[in-house]
Amino acid sequence: MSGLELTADTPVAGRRAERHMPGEEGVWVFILGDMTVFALFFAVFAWYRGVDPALFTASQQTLNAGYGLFNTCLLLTSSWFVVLAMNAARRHLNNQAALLLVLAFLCGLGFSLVKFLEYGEKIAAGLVPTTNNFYMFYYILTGLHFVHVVIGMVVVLFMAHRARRGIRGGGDMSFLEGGASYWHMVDLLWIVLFPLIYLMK
Amino acid sequence: MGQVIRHYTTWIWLLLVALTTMSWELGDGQAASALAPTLAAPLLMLVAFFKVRLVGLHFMELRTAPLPLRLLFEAWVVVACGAILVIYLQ
Repeated sequence: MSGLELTADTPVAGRRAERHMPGEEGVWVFILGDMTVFALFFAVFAWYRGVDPALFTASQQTLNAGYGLFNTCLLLTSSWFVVLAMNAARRHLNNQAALLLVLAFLCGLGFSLVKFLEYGEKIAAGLVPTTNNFYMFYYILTGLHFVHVVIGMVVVLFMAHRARRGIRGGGDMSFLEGGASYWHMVDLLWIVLFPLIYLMK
Repeated sequence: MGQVIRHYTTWIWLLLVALTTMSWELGDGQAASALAPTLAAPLLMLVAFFKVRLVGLHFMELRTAPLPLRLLFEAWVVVACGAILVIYLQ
């Protein structure tokens, strides 16, 4: 397994014998750690919901699930652009890879704009973190996730810059793979947050 | 661009968007009243974690990653989804 070195040209749909780590090990320690922290938050949210289901359901009705749906689709599309960018980078289509990463960044920007609009509406309606337990969790969970989105957007821009320059060594590919994995994690966490906060009654 | 888009992950993306829209219908749209909340909520979570696995295996390339990494991810899916369901159904 370790004897086979993968190059940037190796197709991803590899055989079992050619297992490949997408990005540096350190990146994955960080990603799995982050995912574990979020899993704890999911469980704590579910627990508090169980303490007062009526309050949580009533508060959930005041959210606009349409925003959540739109934002989920934006992140899914953004992730897909990153996957395509990796395909392009592996084929040394540098400009296409960079363009796709810029598109992924723009999806992140769209997500941020919707988030600001949503927070603005809620605050204007007097729904703030101190309103009740539901809103406290709503702001903590979506806020913490939003910090990850902003960091991810910066990472994606760096990736676009690196992809445009072209992959010159294994380090370049590893950087792109690590960044891509982080951005997919941001998407993955929102996939759980959307039904948990906006939909589950 | 064609050869880049003509990749199986494009179908995965379409499936993810379709499942998201269906979940929204089930939780907030026309179909919301068709199913009891005690049935809809666990279904929404199972669909969400199915989507998580699609992203993990096909977008994050864990399908072809070293086995320990793949197993850590699978374990996270089982524990996170299981914990939410157990707490919810109590």
